[in-house]
Parts: sequence; C-alpha cells; structure tokens
Amino acid sequence: MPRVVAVLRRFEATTAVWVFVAFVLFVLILNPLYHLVLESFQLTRGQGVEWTLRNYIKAFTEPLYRGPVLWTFIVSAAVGPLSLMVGAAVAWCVGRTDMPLPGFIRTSVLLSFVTPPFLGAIAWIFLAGPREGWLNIIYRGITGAAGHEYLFNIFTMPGVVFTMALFTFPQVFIVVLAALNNIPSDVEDAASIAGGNSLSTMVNITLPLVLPALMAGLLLAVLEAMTLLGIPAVLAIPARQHLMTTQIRAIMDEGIDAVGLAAAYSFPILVAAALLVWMQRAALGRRGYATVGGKGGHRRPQKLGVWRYPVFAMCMVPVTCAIVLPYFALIATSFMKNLGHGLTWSNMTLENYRSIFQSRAIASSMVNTLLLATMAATGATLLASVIAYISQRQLVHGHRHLGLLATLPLGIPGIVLGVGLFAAYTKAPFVLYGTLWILFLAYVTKFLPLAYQASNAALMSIHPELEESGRILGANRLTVFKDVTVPLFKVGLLASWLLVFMPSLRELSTSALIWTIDTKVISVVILNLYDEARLADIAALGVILMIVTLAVVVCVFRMMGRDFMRA
Amino acid sequence: MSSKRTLASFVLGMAILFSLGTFASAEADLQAAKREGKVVWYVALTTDFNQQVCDLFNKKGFGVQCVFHRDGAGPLYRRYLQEAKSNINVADVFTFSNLGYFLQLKQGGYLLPYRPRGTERFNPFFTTEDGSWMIPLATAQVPAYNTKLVKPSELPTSWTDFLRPEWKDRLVLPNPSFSGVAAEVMIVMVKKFGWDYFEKLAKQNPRIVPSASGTLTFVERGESHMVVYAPLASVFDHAQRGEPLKMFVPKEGVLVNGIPSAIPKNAPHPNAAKLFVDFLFSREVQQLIVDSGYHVGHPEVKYPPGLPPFEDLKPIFVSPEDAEKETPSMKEGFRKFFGV
Amino acid sequence: MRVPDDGPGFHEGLKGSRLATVDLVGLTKVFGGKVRVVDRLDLHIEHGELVSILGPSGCGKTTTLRLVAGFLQPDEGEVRVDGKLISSSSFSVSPDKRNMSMIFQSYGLWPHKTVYQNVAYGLKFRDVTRAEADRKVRAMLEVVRMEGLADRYPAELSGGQQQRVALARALVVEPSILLLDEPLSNLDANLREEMRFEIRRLHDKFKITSIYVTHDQAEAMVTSDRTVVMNMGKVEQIGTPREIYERPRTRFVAEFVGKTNSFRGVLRGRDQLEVAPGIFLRTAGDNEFREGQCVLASVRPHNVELYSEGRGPSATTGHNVWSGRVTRAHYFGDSVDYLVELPNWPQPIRAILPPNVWFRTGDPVRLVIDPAKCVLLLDLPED
Repeated sequence: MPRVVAVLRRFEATTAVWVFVAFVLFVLILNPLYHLVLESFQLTRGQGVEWTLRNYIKAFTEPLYRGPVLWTFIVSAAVGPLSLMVGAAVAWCVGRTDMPLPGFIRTSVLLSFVTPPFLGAIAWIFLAGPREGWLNIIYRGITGAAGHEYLFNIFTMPGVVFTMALFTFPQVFIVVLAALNNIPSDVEDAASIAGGNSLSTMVNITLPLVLPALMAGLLLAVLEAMTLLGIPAVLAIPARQHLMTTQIRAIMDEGIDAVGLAAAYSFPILVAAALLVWMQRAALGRRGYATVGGKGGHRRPQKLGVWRYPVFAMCMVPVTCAIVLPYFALIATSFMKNLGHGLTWSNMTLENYRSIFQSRAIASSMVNTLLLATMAATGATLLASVIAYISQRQLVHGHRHLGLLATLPLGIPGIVLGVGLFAAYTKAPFVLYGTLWILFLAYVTKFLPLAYQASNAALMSIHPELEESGRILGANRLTVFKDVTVPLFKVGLLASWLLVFMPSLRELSTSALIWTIDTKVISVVILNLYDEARLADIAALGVILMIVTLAVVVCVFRMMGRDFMRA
Repeated sequence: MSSKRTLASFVLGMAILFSLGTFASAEADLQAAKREGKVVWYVALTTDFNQQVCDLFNKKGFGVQCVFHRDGAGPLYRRYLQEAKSNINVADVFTFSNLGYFLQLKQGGYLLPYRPRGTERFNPFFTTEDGSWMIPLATAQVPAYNTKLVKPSELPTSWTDFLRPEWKDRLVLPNPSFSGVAAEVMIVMVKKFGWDYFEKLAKQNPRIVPSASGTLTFVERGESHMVVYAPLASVFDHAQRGEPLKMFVPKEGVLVNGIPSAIPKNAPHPNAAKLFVDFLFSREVQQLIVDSGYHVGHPEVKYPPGLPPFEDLKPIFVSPEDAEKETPSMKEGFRKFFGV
Repeated sequence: MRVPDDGPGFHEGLKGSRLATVDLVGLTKVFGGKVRVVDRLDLHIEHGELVSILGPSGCGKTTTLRLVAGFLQPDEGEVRVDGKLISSSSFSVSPDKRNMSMIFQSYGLWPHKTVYQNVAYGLKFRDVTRAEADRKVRAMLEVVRMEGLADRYPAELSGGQQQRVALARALVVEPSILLLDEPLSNLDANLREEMRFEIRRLHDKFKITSIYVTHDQAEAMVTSDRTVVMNMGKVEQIGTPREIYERPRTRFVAEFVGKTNSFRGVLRGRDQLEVAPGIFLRTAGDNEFREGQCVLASVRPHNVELYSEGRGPSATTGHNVWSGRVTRAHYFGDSVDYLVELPNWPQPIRAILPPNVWFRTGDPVRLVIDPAKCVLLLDLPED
C-alpha cells in the first residue's frame, strides 16, 4: 500500500500531458500507416478480401517498376545536395552578412516555397521548353541560331532535378536560417580573434553549429524530392522517364487492388526515409549542440566589404530561377486570351481573373485552404514542439521512438498517404471523411516531420540548464516550458509554423484523394483546371494564390516574428 | 420535310401518351426525389460544363439540388470504390469515361440498371440492353494541329502519314498510363496497323504528355505542331476560345468513345438520381452537350458549325470487354516503345 | 574562520530561512544499465555547512548534485533533508518543490529576461507580495553589487557580472540548500579567483547549507568547510581542506589534490620505505601499516628542498638527503618547477622552490626531504 502511494506521488501531474501528446502522435501516425499496411496485404475478391503477399511480389519482381525506383534515388541524391548548398548558402548570406536587401531575398525564397511545384514546372515549360520556351527564343534571337536549336531543355532529367531543387531549397533555407539566428556572434568572434578569416570561421565554427539544421534540411529536401508528384508528372513524363510517384499514380488508376499494390510499391521510399532519419541521428550522435547558453548573445553581421553586391547577385540566381522568372511567366500567361497567340497586346485580357473572382467554388476553396493551412500549421507546430521537447528532455519512456515516429510520414508519398488516411478516417471510431477535419489531420500528419525537424533543431540549441534553473527555483515543467522554452524557442516555432503553413497551401497529392464537394481546396481546383488544359486560368489563380499567401506571411511576421524579420 | 414533321408529331403524340400512362408513377417518383432533396454527380467533364448542367437542373424547380464532384475518370472510379469499401455512400450519378470501368462496376454488382425516358429512340451505340449504364455523350479522338505552324498542304490523310519523316520531332501524344482514352485509341490502332505502328511512331520522337487534353497546350504554344489524337470536344472548345487549333479526320476513321452514365446501387438519393439521369438524356441537355462539342445519341439535336456530325467521323468503337482486357497490354507496349 | 557580516538591510529578510541538514545514504546512480556513476555514496552535511565535491570529470560529482536537486532519481539509496526522505528509487520530490537553488556551469540566465526579471522569477512561486518581492530583488542585487544594472539583458553583461546575477537569483528565494555546479569554470583566471572569495563571502553572510561541485582543488580549498574527493563514483576521502591536502588517504587523493611525488615500496621497520633495492626513504610512519607491507609514500613537491652541492643539512640531521642532477627547470615567476634525477631511483623527483635559488638543467644538486612530510598511503592496485 505505501508503495502504491509512493508511485502515485512520484507521478508528476504534468507527466499526464506528455503521455497524452505521445498518445495523440501515436494514433495520428500509426492509424493511417496501419491501414496502409493492411491494404498492401489485401486483394479484393468479390465483396470480400483475400490476404496475400502478391502485391509485394508484383511490386518487387515486375521489371517495369525497377527503372522508376532507380531514377527516384538518382534524382533525390542530386536534388538533396543541390538544395542543401543553395539553401544553406543563401540562408547564411541573409542571416549573417551585411548583404543588401536580405528581407527581399528571404521573402522571395519563402514565396517559392508556397508555389505549387507543378505550377512552377508549368512555368518552366513556358520558359525553357526547347522550341517555344521564352529563354530559348531569346537565345535564338541573340545568337541567330536556327529554329530547332535551343539552350535549355526542361524536358530532361537534369531539368527535373533543377526544377525540384528550386522548390526544395527553401526548406533548407528556413531551417538553417532559424538555426543561424540562434548562434550568438561571440562564438564566431572567438574564432575570428583566434586568427581565422570569415571563411574559416564559417567552415570551422558556424558550420558545425548549424550541422543539425543542415542535416535536417538535407533530409527534408531528399525526401521531398522522393515524394513529389507534380514536377515528375509535368516534366519527367515528357522526358520519357517514370519516377516512383508517377509510377504509383499510374498504378493507382488500374483498379481497386491497385491501392494495395501502390502501398507495397512505395515501400522502398518508406525504408529510405527511415534509413535517412536513422543516419541523421547516428551522424549527430550525442554531440552537444547547446549553443544558446545562459550567456545569451549578440548577432552581428559579417562585413562583406566589396563583396556585398557580388554576394547579393549570387543570392539572386536561385531567387530569379525560383520566383522572378516563373512568376513572370505565370503573370504574363494569366493575361493571355489564347496560349496560341503569344505575348502580344491584342492577346491580352482580364477575362481569366474575372472568371476566377466570379467563381463561388474557387472562393470557397480559397477560404477552405487558408483555414486548413492555419489550423494545420498551428496544430502541427504545437504537437511537434511538444514532441521535440519530450524527446530531447527524455520525459517519457521510448522518447527516442517518438521522434522517429514524427519523422516517418516524410517517407510516405502523399498519394499513398492519402489512401491510408482515407481508410483510417472513413471507419469508426474516426469517421471524418467529408469534413475539413480529415484534411486537417492529413496536413498535420504529412507536415509534422517538417515542424518536428524545425522544432528539434531549434530546441537543440537551447541549453537544458536554462530550464533547470527555472525548475529548481520552483516552476513546474509546464511553467518552465511556457516562461523559458517557448520564448527562446519563438523563432524556431515560427519557422516550424511557416514550414507547415506554406506547403499546406499547395498540398495536392494527398488532398486529391480525400477532398469532397464541400471541402475542396485550391490545389484541387488547380489540378482540375490542368485536367481541362486551362493554363491561363491556372496562371491567374497561381498569381492570386501568391498574393494572398504573401499577405498572410507578412501579417504573421508582423504579428509574432520581429526577430525573424530582423534576422 | 413534311415527312420529318409527321414523324416529329407522331413522336410527340407517343410521348404524351406514354407520359400520361406513367403520370401517376412519375409524380410519385418526383415526390420521392424531392424528399431526397439532392443529387451528387461524380463527373469527369469540364467544370464549366458541369456547372451549366447543374444550374439548368436546379432552375427546373424539381426541388432537388444538383451538386457535382469533378475529377479525372481514374480518380473518380478509385474514389467510388474506396467509398463503397468503407460503406460510405455519396455518389448518386456517375459520368466519366472508359467503358472498362463500367464493365468492372457491373461485374462487381455495383450498378443499379436504369433506362432513362426517351432513350429507346437513341442511336444504339449510346444505350445498353439492360440499362446498366447509358451513354449521354461521346467524343472522338482526333488529330489536331496548330494552324500557324502546319500548312494545309502538309496535312496527313491517313494515320500512317504520321510516320513520314516530315513529322519527326513535331508530334505530341498522351500517355495511356494516365489517360484511359489514350489506351482505347491504341487498341484500335494496334488492331488496324499492328504494334509495328507504335514502334515506328516512337522513332518520330514525339513529346509524351500525361493527360489527353494536356497535349493541346503543347500544340497551341507551338512546342509541338500536331497532336496525334486528342478528345474532339476539347479541340472544339479550345478552337471556340480562339486558339489556333484545328482537327481533321483521317480516312480510316477515328475512335469514338462513349462517356457513360450510371447510377450506383448504393446511391443515397436513388430517385433524385433517376430524375437527374432523365434530365441528362432530355433533348435540352443533349443539345447543351452537343453545343459543347460532344456527340450524343439523341436523334433531334442540331450540331453546331465546325462540329462534324457523328457519321462523318467514320466512327470506330471499342467494346467494353476489349477496353477492360486490352488496356494493361497497351500501357505495357507503350512503355516498351516510349519509355513511360 | 567565518566572519559574520551583517549586510545592509537584508539580513532580517532571511531570518525565517530554515537551514537544513542533508544526508546522502548509500546513494547510487546507474547509467545505461551498468555504469555505476555514483556508487553507494554516504555523506552527512551539517546546518549551514559548505561542502565541496572535488574530482575529475566523469567522477560522478555532477550526477550527485543532480540527484540532490531532483533532476535525476537514484537507483539505490536515499537523499534526506532534515531527516525527511526526498529521493529514493521509488520516490522523488520534484525539483520545484525542494526549496533548493542551483548555480549552473553556464549560469542558466535567461537571455530574454532582464537582470531584474531573472532575479525576480523564483519569487513568483513563493508567497511574497509584489512590493516585498521588489524590495528583496533590489536588496539582493545590492548584495551582489549589481544594483545599477537591473535593466540590462544578460548578453550585455561581463562573465563575472553574469555570475553575480546567477548568485542573486539563487539566493533571493532564500533556499534551504544551495547547489553549485562548477560555477566558475567559464570565467577567466583572475575573475575566478575573485569570485571564489565572493562565494565564500556570500556563504558566510547567509550560511545556507551548500554543496559545491568543482574539479579545481584551489576552488574547493578556498570555499569549503569540508571537501569530498570523488573518483569513479566513489568517495575517496572526506575531510577539511587541510586534512585532504596534508593527510591524503589514497594515492588518488594525493595526486589529484595538489601535485605530488609518490613512491611505491616495502615498509622496513616503522618508518623506512625501501623504494628500490637498498634505497630507503625515511617517512613520517603510520601505525596503520605493518612492516613488510607494500605501501606508498607521498611527498608534495613544495616539501622537497634543493641545495647546491655541499650545502644544506646533512643526512645526520635525520632528513632524507641525496645527491642528484637537475633534468628540467621551469620558471613560473613565483616559483621554479624542477625535476631531479637520483642515481638508482626508479623515478625522478619533482620539486617546487621559490625563485630566489636558481639551478640550471644539468646542475648537480643536494636533495633534502623532511621525513615528517612523507605521508604513507595504502597501495591500491593500479586502476
């Protein structure tokens, strides 16, 4: 009896909170996964099902399916380092140097993150289609080359890698910028005083300190490249190569049993994701990354001197490719009467915008989208930060697995995740199909890894002693979390919020499976317009989407992120 | 002329008689539909067109609200099956392409047979004996070209002309892995010319695009000069909007594929569904469909200028059985020659 | 040695403060299922006593402190305050309910709060009115001489100032126990010396029962009433700083606390240690050891004297006297550190002398050791 009492007294009240969050995560991730695995072992027989391994056998023995697997790994192995390099370099210039217009660069990079990748891919067809791409027309105009010659051909695998990198490097950028903002300059100064120049300071001091963020960014970029559907559908198919996502999409159209086959076929991506997450952990190991000690820190930009403008120009290269050129193409197209009559005054119209503004369906989709993105960003950020906290402060048993669990959805292609979500939330006890809640859960589940990685990287840089000093002074865990962790964590939280909010606005592959008449989102509208070959309308909608997003993001910065704005 | 009028008045008389005879039951059905209050249409046609049909239906004052869920044919089919598996009943009426899907649905016992009023006079291609599904509209898969980039003298007259050297690098094709109708065209072509045709076509290095109507934007912008086959209705629609796009019919004829409608057995609003299907096959809507560039089975519609009548297409059909059976091998064959 | 010092206006505020005794009984913490980081530690700390725990990194001293604070829970044994159980393997009062304070190695100051807000934070959780809290914070800032910098942020302070804020924040809540975890390790040498005295001054002022963890023996010497030397999770010796230095009980203590020469040998007679065949070192002797036993002798380098050849006391005075040669001489300003080789000795002897005599490498010297300064230790097998 006294032992029971002792156990009960030992049970801190706040422990209930951690256990509850862990449970929520467990259900959130494992419920759809469970149904997915179930489907992968099933074949439909009449009205019933048959348990079988045939899906796996077919997925791994069919020779046609092998090329896409190989190419998916090649493409993501190329996209990952490319977007890591670009994202980290631009983040460093924005966050750490006196380069001109850092705010402009930052906002532009964030904008490319909200652009639906397949919209970007379409824009790049306009720009770099071998025959009619505007860049190639300009090239021929300058060089006087013949009509069939071209400088760029976007319908190639390098073209696919290039376009994917444009839409994955912002993830690296956001995570790394948040981490850079947490490193006090005195750490870097220490190195400079010891005789290092800017470059060696960056390589020897800054780089190791942002290593967790770099690894997180790389992981996100690689897995995003593996699971993107839009860009391969628009560019890789004309380049005559299936990637796994387009192959899955093709399989899915083959009938009811296709779902199980698609689930089995996406297995390698899931394994690769788990492996990458494991490697990330092994690489980071137990090294201490507590950089924000109680000593706080000033941040002072590196003086670039004569290099200010050249560095700015370098940063403008990815921004031009990801934002300036594609949006030029989209804006131009959005005013076109006919695609077939090109950029002439007589071919200009406002009709595309008028039809969009008049459509009640599009207006309600826009409202749905904004509502969902806000809800999902808030929900995922709360959940992710608490999970990151539990896992780093080792608050419950199995905390290591929680982190892994939170990263797992990264490895599920959106289209396959949609199947799992559909199966999970059309049955008791969670009948959510037909409501916005299923989309909410979908986005939270799908983007939780992004929020978790951002929170984790940010939290890693907050020294536990900052919390312990609060604890010993009489604050319980929740109070410390609120008074100490959250305020220090604010930049990380904002990064995490944006990392969920922005892709939620453009999420397509999962939404496409679970939207319903009353819960249509803007990406589905765009997909439908694409199906109907209404590119000018898509362009107009893309431009409107960008303006709305920009407004929201700027508001969010104003409201809570002065720190982030100042950088 | 007078014989036509006589026929029309005869038909009208018959229709009145028929409707008088079934008046009581029709009134009862209407009351039942009104109680259900709503019809949910799973449709793969364009959003504008669906909206037009629904608006028209809602204005009729049946007291039944039409809402539509627009998506591609494959996604709609998959979604319905998943919903059925989870015992979620949403769809009342289907309208999307590929007869193969409907054959599978019929074999799976998912369909509620229903022959809408007036369809007994339709071209038999647009109907079925048992009413498992009916075809409110069809479209042909035709070649189309950019009028600024292709001289009329260059125009092929036969499908085999696309294999001539002047078309190298200028063509675009839809991918059968993503486009059900592309697979159906292939079934016809392979039957007529053998696999040899696609092997040679692959050597022409055509651009491959996932969706059938997506090919049109390539032709309009001049990235390609000619699409080998695209839905006639889309070509018609785009040309109407002013795009420099024109279709033609090769001498061997073109595939015409029906876009079926059916009512699922588990429709939550079966009476409203029947009312809506009747409406789809009514002369008013059939005319609306024709005006959008599709072909229909209704004998009394007027085809708009620029849209060749059904017979002029020299239509070739694919049976549902063939569509279902042959589609996988078409995808595989295409993959072999074109890589995707 | 404690000098009661009535600080300005603050003392009465602490009158209600209850000073506590701490008992660690068989305290054990196991990491990873097998490493006994703290191994059956027993320690009693009196009211108002400042005990330092001294040891190399990884010896378990910080773990011990965190066990007392409640950040860790013991696997065996107990922590008691005033006889009341607060930690055991099945029970633990959470850190926020222990009325302790802790100074962290990194200070743990919150960078987003001002000095004033940092210090005032702990009072939020105590039954103190706002006005009273304000008075206490201001008084405490005065005690640590930070009254002018209340509105600064930690990042705007020097290391020493941050340390003072951390002290103020820990003391203002009037804890019954103060825990200090290597509080000076982040400071530069001069500041560290100054802060040692500051910590002792504040302890003498408030007399809070304190546990001070450090790896720096000088810090332990200056600040503490008693010192616990830990190694590999176990207590090596407990005593006053003077006892620890002058009468180390183990080789580890002798070598860790200050520099030392240790000689292994066999005891012949009561006080002669045979360090090599035929070579004897005369020691202070110890009744705990018997003739023939293998023991160690420890001689502090400060207690080794060097003379020019032919000078200094002769062997007849009862001192140990040998002739040797200087093999290394390092000049430190206030002292010179020599290494002297003696013929037939197993190892060179280290000597530290004031700089008024100066030998060069290679110089012959006479080496003299007072037997009273040769402490005998138990010879434990090498770790």
